[in-house]
Amino acid sequence: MDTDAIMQWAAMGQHGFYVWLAYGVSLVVLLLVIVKTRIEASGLKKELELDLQLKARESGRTVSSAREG
Amino acid sequence: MKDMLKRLWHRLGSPRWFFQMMAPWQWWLGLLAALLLLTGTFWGLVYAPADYQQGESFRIIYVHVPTVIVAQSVYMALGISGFVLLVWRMKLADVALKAMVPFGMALTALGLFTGAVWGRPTWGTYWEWTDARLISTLILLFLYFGLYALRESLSSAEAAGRGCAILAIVGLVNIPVIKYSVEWWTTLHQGETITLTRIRMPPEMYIPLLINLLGMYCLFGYVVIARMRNEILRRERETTWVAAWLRGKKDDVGNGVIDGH
Repeated sequence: MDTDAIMQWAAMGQHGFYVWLAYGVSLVVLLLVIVKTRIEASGLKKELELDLQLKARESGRTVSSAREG
Repeated sequence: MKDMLKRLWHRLGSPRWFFQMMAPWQWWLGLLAALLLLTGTFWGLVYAPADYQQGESFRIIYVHVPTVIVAQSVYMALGISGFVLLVWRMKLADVALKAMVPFGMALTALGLFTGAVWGRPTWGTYWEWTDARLISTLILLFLYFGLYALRESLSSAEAAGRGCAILAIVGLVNIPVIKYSVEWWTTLHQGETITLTRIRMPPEMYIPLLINLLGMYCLFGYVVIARMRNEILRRERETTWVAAWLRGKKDDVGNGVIDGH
């Protein structure tokens, strides 16, 4: 592809700064919203799984101590 | 049809049903949002012709208009959720209220920012304090801030839900003001280019805009469903169904099925 044509397109007729600033900030904000939601979901799942394991361990301990008793 | 809607309404009373039903929807909406937004943006930036008056800066329309339209739709959805919460006390309505606020806030801020950036080459200024459209949209952002702050500041979840519901309903009055501000007052902001009955643009310009608008609605669906599912897990963490789901999910992952609950 012609480099000059790409450069001309990227310059957006002297409005390149405004066009790319609007698109760049929008991309960053929307990606942040998506990534934050994904991180929150995976963190929450890990936390709940750990909770479940702890509860299972505790109930196992209660059963074995009841047997010993 | 009426029976089906009635059944759906009753099912919406169950966060568990929503959590399980919406898993596939979340991924399909996410995929659709990515495809539509990439297509619309590429089309708008590369193939759409430049505007005869504004030149290339008009291409900001493809990001500005979808964000502000969806930001207003999110607020209307908040008002409806608030009404449902106050009248029927549906748990899921409160979950939706909490899940939608950050996304609506981000979109409104983005809409104001992209509008300001577009305003500089078009009007010669980033901001105009006497413009009714700009000020009413700024009020929308403050309403989102208020909803967020109210939720965070009240220790009682029930009181926070009720407070947010009332604020969301009261704030609805701002939506028609935003929409008709360009007709009611003389503003710097241009009138509406696209309405439900009239489009004042050639197809090669408005088709990518409609694609991006649809993509933004899909992104709204994806983010809100994901955030609602997170919130449901948080609220229902002590229930047996969440424990069963976590155990089932672990087994499914072991079998190579990632989201097969």
